[in-house]
Amino acid sequence: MSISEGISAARRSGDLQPLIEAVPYFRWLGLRVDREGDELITVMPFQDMLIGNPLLPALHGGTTGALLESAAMISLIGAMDTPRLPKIINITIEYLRPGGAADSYATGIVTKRGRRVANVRAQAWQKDRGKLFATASTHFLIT
Amino acid sequence: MKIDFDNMRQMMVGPIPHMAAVGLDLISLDDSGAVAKVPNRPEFVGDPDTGVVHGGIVTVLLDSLSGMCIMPLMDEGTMMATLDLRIDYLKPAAPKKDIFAHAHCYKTTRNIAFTRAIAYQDNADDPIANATGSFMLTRAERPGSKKAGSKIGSKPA
Repeated sequence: MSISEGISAARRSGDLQPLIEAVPYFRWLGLRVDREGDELITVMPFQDMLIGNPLLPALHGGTTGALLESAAMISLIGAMDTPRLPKIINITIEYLRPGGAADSYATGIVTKRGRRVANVRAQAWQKDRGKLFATASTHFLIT
Repeated sequence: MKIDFDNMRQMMVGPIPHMAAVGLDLISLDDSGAVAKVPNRPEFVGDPDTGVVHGGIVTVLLDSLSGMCIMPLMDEGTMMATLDLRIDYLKPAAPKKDIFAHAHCYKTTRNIAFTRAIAYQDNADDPIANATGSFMLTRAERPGSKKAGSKIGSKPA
């Protein structure tokens, strides 16, 4: 399935899973998208291969960044009506505490959608949504 | 701290699951900076229409290397934790090519280290991404401190 077919199928059904299936890196990370009301929650189930510090143990910071970037993009796709994939311009990741060896969740909030650029903030948490372990601020090109 | 490069290179891949999973290979590490590579693999593709790698792989490479490049400048036992990392994606990565990165630490204070890094494919003068990072340092001479983070010299992630 091409990416635009994945996005179109996802939009028709309201289920973002076809989009996940169309992107090899999302499949490799084992990502899944849950819908809760208007929110799209991107889930990164725990796997040993996500560990960056075996002593703590803690997730690799890069996987946390990848989750935040993916969640920002998925929430943005959910808020738009074109079949094209937004292109990331930049991301600033803030690490608040180590991500533990547990399932991780993230969602994006579209703070501004212009004609060409969208600003999306993303938040990531594990067991307790009130205790974020990382946040990100992103820009995407959406033309 | 003097880095035993061969030792560091071995510690990078086997014992750190995510480094092994992406196949990250440390090419050089000294006071002037760090160079590493992630191989091209079909499962890293982020846009199946173009074959371009997902930004997450670039993030993993730049995050890892930005932390590692601080190590040669620190005393053994120093712990560090990433505060933030900003990545600018300058152009799409060309499909089916390995990605390299170079990182260096341009300033350290008692508590913070500041880094710059680029990711590139054929030519370091034509990077695909630029990163700036800041890291909290917990120096070894503060006894009893058990802050989260990686112990420099033993756990690079």
